Amino acid sequence: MAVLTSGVSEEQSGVIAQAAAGDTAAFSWIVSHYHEDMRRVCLVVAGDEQIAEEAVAAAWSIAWRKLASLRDPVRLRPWLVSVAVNEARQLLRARRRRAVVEIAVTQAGRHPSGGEPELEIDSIDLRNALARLAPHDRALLAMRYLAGFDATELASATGRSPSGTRARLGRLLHRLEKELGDG
Amino acid sequence: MDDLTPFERRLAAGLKAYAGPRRAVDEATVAREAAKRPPTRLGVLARLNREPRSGRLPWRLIGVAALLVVSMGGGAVFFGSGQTPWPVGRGDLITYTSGGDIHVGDPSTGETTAIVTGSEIDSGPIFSPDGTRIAFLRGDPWTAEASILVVRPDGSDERTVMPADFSQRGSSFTWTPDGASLLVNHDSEPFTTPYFDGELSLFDASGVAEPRLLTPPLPIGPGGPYFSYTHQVAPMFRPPNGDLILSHASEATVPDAAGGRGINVWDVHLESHTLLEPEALKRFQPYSVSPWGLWWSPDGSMIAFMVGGTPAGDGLYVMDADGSGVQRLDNIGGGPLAWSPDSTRLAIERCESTPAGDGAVIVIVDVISGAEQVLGSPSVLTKTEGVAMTRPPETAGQAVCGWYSGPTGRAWDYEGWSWSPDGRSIVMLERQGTRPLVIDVQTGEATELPWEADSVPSWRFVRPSSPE
Repeated sequence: MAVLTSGVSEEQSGVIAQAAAGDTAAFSWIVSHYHEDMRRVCLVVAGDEQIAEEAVAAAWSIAWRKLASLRDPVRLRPWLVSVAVNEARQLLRARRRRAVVEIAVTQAGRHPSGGEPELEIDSIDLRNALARLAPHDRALLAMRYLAGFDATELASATGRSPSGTRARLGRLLHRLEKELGDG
Repeated sequence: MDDLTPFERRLAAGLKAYAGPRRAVDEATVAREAAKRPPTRLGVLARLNREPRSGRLPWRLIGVAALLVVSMGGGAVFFGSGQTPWPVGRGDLITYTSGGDIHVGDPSTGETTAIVTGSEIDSGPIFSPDGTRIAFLRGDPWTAEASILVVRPDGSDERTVMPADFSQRGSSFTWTPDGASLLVNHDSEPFTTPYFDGELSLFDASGVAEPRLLTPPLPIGPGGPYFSYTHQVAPMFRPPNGDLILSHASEATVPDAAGGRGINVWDVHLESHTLLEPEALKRFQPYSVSPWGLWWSPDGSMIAFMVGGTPAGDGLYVMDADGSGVQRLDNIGGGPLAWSPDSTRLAIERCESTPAGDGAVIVIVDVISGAEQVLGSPSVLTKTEGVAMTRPPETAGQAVCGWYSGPTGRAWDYEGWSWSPDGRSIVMLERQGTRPLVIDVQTGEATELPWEADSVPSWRFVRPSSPE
C-alpha cells in the first residue's frame, strides 16, 4: 500500500492537487489507497459495520469538497482517517440517542487469526475492553496498531503534541494490559 | 511497527482480527457517490436557556444558604480571633470538582456544598472576575459532547452558554475581564481538519446572544491553527483590561531563515482583531526553539514562558511585556505554572529523582532575584506506588513526571495548584480524588482540607459588591 509520509512524492502531491480541482479519476486513486484504513479504523471506533460504512461514505463526501483546504499533502492519510473517525463518532452518538449500540461479541473464532492461541488476545476480551474505552481512545489504538500510524501521523490526526499522544497511548496500553490479564 | 513490545504486537494482531481482512474497493463508485452526496450541517447554538432545567432539587439553595451562613460564622472566627482551622487568607470561597459535581467550599471553615449535581460529568469550574458566577464544562472535554454552562455560586440560574456539538474537541475557556462573556478556544465547524483548529469565540455569559467568532478575520499562515489544542486561554488575556492575548507562533506564520519561532501577540479588542508582531516577540534567537506555555503576570507587565530545544535544554523564561529583558529562570520544561497574585513569584512543578522514586515538587521562583524555594510538603516525594510505563529512551535515568502510572492509571505529577488571593498559600491537588493541601509558602507547613476533589480549586478573588 502506498502511504504518503514525510517523503511524499511530487507525483502524489500532483494527484492530490488534481483531485482537489475536481478530477474524479485522481480522487478515485486516493479512495483506492485509503478507503480500507478509514473503514477498519471506524469499525474499531464504532463497533458496528454499518456505522463504519456510513462514516467512511460521509468522510469521502467531505474530502471531495474540502480536499483543497488540506494544507500539507503529508497529512492526507491522518486527515482522511480523522475525518472518518469524526463522522463515526457523530453517527455513534446519534445512534445512541435513539437506541443502545452494542459492540457485537461473537462466540466463534476466539483466535480468528489462526495463530498460536497463547500468543493472541482473546477476541471477546478485546471487544469488551474496547467497549469500555471512549471512542477517541479506540480511534487512537486503531490508528496506531491497525492503520500503523507513526507518531507524527497520530499527532496530526488527534491534534495533540507527539509527546502528549505518546503519553495517552502509554496510559491506554497500561490499562489494556491490566484488563487483558497481562499486567 | 518494528519497535513494538510483545503486548503491542499481540494487540495489533487482535485489532486486525477484529477489523477483519482488507476488502476490495470500487473506488470509482465511491468517488462518484462522494461527489454527489449533499453536505451535512452540524450543530448551531440552540436556545437552551428558555426553560429551567428539570430535575434540579431546591435543596441546593438551602445548602448554599447554610454554607453562606456558616461561611459568615467562619469568617467571623477568622477575622475576629485570628485562628482558623485552615491557614488560608481572606476566608473566601473556592470552587472545584468532585465526583463530576461542582462544589463551592470555604477553606477558612472547611465547609463545602455541591451546587451542581446530577448524572452529568461537570468539570473545570472558574469563578467570574466579579465573583458572582461560576463557569464550568459539562461532558467529556475531549469530545463534541462538551458544553459550557454558567451558574451562580448558590447553584441557581444555571444557563448553557456553549451548547454541545459546537466544538469537536478540547474546548477551553476563560472569563473576559468584565465578566460579561466567556472566551472559548474551540474547534471550528465543519470539523474536517485533522487537528484542532484553535479558533476563539466570545460567548454571552447569560446564554442569550449568539456567539461571535473572533479569529477568522485574523491572518493565518498555512500549516497551523490559530491556537494549539493545549493552549491555555485563561492566562492569555493581558490584565487588567484583557486587550491583548498571546499565542504561539508556528513555523509558517513566522518564516525565518534560522528556523526561529516565537510568540504572537493578538490584539483582541473584540472589535478590531489584529495580529501584533513586535520584533522582539517574534522569536528567541539564537535558539531555534518553540515556546509553549505563555502566561501574563497578573499585573500585565511580564510574560512567563517555557522554551524547549535550546542548547542548555528546556527552560523557564520571563520577559517584559514588550519583549525586552528576557531572563532564564530555571531548566524546567513543561508542567503547570502559576504567577503569585503580586506578580513577584512563579510556582512551577519540577521533576525530582530520589531513592524513593521519581516524583514532582513545587518550586517557588522569585522572578527578580531568581531565588528558589522548594515547598516542603510531606507528600511530595512519597509517590512510590507508580508502575513504570513506556519510557522514552532519551529520558533513561532521569526523573520523568507524567510517565508513571499509579494503580488507577493516573500519572504521578500534580493535578495543579493555585495561589490564595493574599499570596500566602498555595492550594495544591496532588491527584484526583484526594484532599487538597494548603501549603504556607513561607513556612512550608502543609494542611489538608477536609474534602476530596478532582480538580484544581478556582478562587473567588473578589467578593461581590452586590447580592449574588
